[in-house]
Amino acid sequence: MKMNNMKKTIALALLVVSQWIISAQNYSVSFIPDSIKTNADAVVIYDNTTIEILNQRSMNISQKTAVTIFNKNAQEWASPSIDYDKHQKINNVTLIYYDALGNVLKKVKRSEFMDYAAVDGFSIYSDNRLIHFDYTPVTYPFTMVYEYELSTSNTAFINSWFPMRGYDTGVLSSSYSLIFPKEFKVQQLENNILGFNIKSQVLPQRLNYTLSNTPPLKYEEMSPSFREIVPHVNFAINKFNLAGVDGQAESWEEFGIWMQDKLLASRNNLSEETKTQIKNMVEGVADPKERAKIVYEYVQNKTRYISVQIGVGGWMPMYTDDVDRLSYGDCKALTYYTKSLLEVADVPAYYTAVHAGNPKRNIEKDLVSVQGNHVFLILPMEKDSIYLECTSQKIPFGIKNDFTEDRDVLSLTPQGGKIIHTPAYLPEENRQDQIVHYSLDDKGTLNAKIEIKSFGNQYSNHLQDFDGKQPNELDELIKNHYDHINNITIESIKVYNNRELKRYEENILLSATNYAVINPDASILFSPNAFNRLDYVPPKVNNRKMPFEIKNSFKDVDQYKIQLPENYVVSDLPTSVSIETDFGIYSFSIEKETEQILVYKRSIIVYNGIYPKEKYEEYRKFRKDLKKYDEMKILVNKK
Amino acid sequence: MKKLLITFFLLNITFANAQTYKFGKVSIDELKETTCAIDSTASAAILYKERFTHFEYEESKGFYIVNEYFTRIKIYNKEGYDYASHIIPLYQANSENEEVMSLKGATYNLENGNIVKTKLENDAVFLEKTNKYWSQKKFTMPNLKEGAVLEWEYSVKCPFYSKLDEVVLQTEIPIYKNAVNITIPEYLIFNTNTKGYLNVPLQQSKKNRTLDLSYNQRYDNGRLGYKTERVQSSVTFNEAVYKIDMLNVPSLKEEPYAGNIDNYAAGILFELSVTKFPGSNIETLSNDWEAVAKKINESEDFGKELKEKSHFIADLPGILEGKITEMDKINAIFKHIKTKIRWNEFNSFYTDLGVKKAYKEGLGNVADINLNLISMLREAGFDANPVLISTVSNGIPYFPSRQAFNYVVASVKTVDGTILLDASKIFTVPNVLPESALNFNGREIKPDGKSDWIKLYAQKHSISKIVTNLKFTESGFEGNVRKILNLSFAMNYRNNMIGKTKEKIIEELNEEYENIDVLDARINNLEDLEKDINESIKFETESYFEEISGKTYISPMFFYQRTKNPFTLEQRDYPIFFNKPFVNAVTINLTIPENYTIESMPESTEILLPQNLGAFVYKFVQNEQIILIESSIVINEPVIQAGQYTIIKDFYRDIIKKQAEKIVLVKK
Repeated sequence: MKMNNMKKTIALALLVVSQWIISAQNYSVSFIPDSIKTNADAVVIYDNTTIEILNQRSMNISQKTAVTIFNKNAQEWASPSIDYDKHQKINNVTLIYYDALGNVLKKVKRSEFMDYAAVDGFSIYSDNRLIHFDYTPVTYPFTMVYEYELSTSNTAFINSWFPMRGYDTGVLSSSYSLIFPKEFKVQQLENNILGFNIKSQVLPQRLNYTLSNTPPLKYEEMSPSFREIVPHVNFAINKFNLAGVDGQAESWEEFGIWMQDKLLASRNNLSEETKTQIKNMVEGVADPKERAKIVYEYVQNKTRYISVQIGVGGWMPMYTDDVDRLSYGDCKALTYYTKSLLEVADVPAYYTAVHAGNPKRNIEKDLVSVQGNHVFLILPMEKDSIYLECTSQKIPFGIKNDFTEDRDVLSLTPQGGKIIHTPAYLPEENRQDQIVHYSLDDKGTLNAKIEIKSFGNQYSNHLQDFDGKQPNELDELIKNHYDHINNITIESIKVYNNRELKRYEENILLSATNYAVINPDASILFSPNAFNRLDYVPPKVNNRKMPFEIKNSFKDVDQYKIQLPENYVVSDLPTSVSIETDFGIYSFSIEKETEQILVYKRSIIVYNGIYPKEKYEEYRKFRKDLKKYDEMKILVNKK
Repeated sequence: MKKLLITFFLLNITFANAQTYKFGKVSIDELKETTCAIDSTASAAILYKERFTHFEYEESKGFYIVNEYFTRIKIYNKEGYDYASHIIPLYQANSENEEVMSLKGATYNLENGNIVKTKLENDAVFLEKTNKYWSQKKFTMPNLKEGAVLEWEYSVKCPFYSKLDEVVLQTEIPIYKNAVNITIPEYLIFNTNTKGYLNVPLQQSKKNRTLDLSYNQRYDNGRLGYKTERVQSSVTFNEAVYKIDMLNVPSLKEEPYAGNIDNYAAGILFELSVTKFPGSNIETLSNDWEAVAKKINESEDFGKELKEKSHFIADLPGILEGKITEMDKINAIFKHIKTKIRWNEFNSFYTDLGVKKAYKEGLGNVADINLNLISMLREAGFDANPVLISTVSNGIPYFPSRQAFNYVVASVKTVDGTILLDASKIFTVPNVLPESALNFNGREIKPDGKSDWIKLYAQKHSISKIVTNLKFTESGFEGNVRKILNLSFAMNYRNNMIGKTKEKIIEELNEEYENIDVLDARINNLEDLEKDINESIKFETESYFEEISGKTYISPMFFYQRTKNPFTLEQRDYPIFFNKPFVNAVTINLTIPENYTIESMPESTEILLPQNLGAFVYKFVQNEQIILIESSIVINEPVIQAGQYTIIKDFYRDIIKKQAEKIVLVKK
């Protein structure tokens, strides 16, 4: 009996010990190598994603993640969120927090997670939801470990692998496995894999990727967008299901045909009255561009943008007759509605998907899959195609749009899908012309008349900032815009969206006391460039590791006529300056027109692009020079 | 951001006055209007807004509220399209919820002289569950065109009889006519309070009502004593009727630095203060500030918590060991609580985990932390009390209610006066509260339950003292700077710098001090709260001077020069919140090389503000090749009243002008 008991006890002890060994992933912080945790706000201990595609309509995702958080900067890691919608189910959620030694601090139950609508702030309604647990750390460092499983029928979207999620975060191990049945073809697109510690394996029916032992990446001023720098892999499968709709495509042609047939075609149900109305509007107009303009401006005046993200993951547009009746819709609805009306007006238009916004992002042409966050229209013409953004009531017909320019997009042509590259704005097209007349009196007060005309992306910026604003909002905007000048009183501001000439116009009358500095000997010191100064110099970066990016190109041309106070003359004027660099060209000149009137001319063009890290100091010098010359002062003496 | 309009127009608008409003009866005149007569810049206006709130009775549930709304809006142009969407927030708790009944709406457009009506269909109305307590019913009006008139009508059934929603009398767009009727049975007594700057014409009257009510009745059953019985009978009772009819209400426009703009919108707030249902006792819910404070003091999660000490009593002797002076002891307890319990980012004056659990686990809300602080101070023999506060974002407490407060700190009497302590924020020091809590006055509650207002702003000036030694070389300047900060300035500095590596700090200093290269930086006393912050940096710069026409012009204040006036408005209707009296003192020793003569330098000057609001002292002294520059800006009041705005605006304007004057050098 005694022996039996002892055996039982030993067996029990062994069982307990072995369980302890099996479950003993040690979360003690001391196990993280110094090379990974130095300067890290957080370290990913492991981040394992396994995606199994069971069939065209079923995919299981299993996620196991452990992150050690060292300080407040990485605090958002500590409160996990899991997104889902009505096509997805979340199962088996576990969440445990450990202290620095690896002891359990807190175990969280699924019921303690809060369930929220994933409110994006501008949709009137959306199906998307998320569960979230809010955790406040007691001490640092601590480790958060969570696991969950998600099953979904949306096989059209396969999560990409993004092992490095942010700056100042080290990674011990991040792995990704994609498992799929024999009859499926999977494509993968690898970005920025070289130069990082990544191993990949391509097996029949399985793809594996692992990133190991990567120290944290530090942000450097003017680095290109994070996405451009870090490794990531995107995936697509040739047979999929998008929110209840089956699809199959191995080429963009096929994909485009599927999208037209299954997502778009059935949504066009314009009434006969509407069709007749459109035909009447364009009767007798021979030029297709003119017909397109009439239809486009009709839609602009009739509709407004309301975001409604329902159904089919938000991928099917509203019925065209509904848009017609309600006079509103989101980007898909308004774009498809416009296309349908153009069809009636005998103008072909291609429904085009794009990654809109900044930084610039391409539809990955080597990966046939559902991509993009926005749609617009491309109208093929004999010479240059016309690009139509259908969600704005204000922009001119056919203007290049600054959030869809210069990138690969997917256009649905009658022959199927096609990747094309939208034309980029040339720096000369992003132009601002400024004509200023101002006078100074002997107390240093400035009185100015300013005329501004903006084109290209400068047009878009000014339209967004100034159009439709109340007078007192404009007052505040102008004062903030010229914030290097104190004591501004605005006499008048007139703004105008000149659609015919595709430019934004502003006319401003203002005055400011104490603009010029009066010296003890009554001489006056002031800076001729009152209204367009580039005074920002990017900070120094020691041992720069990454290239840097100038995001926007532009060209500014300013002409000033400056009237000096009575009885004052200028003695010396600075010599003209012209600087030419890889980044842009700057020049100014200042001359006497008469004894009382000076003419100051300034012109600058800046080229966007990604530049090598070795040129960063050169760029800083360029900015220092711009600042020096833009702020430069001249002296005016009493006669 | 727009200016706040407080002028009240009384225009004679033909259709607005003459018309009675019924759903479905939109007139051609309303459709023809092209601009708003109240405010020609308005992109939309409410033609008519009506609210009728009344109480109904259901046998099983008792009294409940019905809110009936009718709104008619005119859209003048595309900028007003946002007002064609509406959200109805619905509250739920304890498996009861507010519900929308009978929603209908329509858009009217004028087409070729005819009124065209487009109905609001069900598929354009969405119900969204936001979280555990709130849902939202949302809709947007169809077929919107410039010039359209929209209307909607709905009622909300609210099972919570204390939830009498604020009567909104001013919105972002002008209102031609607003009619409100709130009718309340005498069994519920609500306190009312008006907010905002507009004059609200509130008419009160009474009316009779008869309902079949059932209630418990107690009666004398003779020898069997008292008996309680459920009775149903027809009861006639009074109802208080609150009526408001307002015409031509100007819109509420936001202004910068307004703080909480909601404080200024015209409205009426209702708070349930007494219930006396038939057959029940009178229940008082809240009264005046004294009563509110007393009630809070008696509650489990507050007053009772202050009596708990068993969990810390053993630690006290160790904390106080070796501490002799009063302030030493207070600081020791303060420090102990700060390090012992970490703030979980929740504000309240009621405890969350409870003082015991929070102390043991090391985590708690503001009350968990500060109530522990008060108990410990009391146990150590100090006269310490809780002070209830409404934080800045919570708004100014309008009238006595427990909901007015959302924060609590500790007060302690010392030989130098009463000081305030907040142990929930690590970098506070005695009598320096976090800026978010500095909202005029707090309510201090004594142990006997009596309470009074207490000023939250510190009396002592927060001081920023900077001493710079610079040398002018032909290509620029090089030198060092020492900065000493105390009180509020030190607290903000620590909040910003803690945990940052030296590299990061130098990066930030480079950004903060424009146009210089920080060569080295050292910060002392970052963690020692009892000492002032001491920052020293070594730098060089190519800026702050210019050669023009053979002379050299130097900006004497370098990167400390005030170039931007923070006060730009023509007029301001509410105070300037500096939050603390302060001194910004800068001393510069500038050495000029031998091969230059100092031709001129700015004249010394002094500006003294009236009513001792503050001063600016600017001194220049030359000693051979060294120029001594001293600039001192002093503000003595934490809050400057709106009426003194121009004084302060001009003060900064003059400082900027003076500091822009140059030192002029000539080469020998």
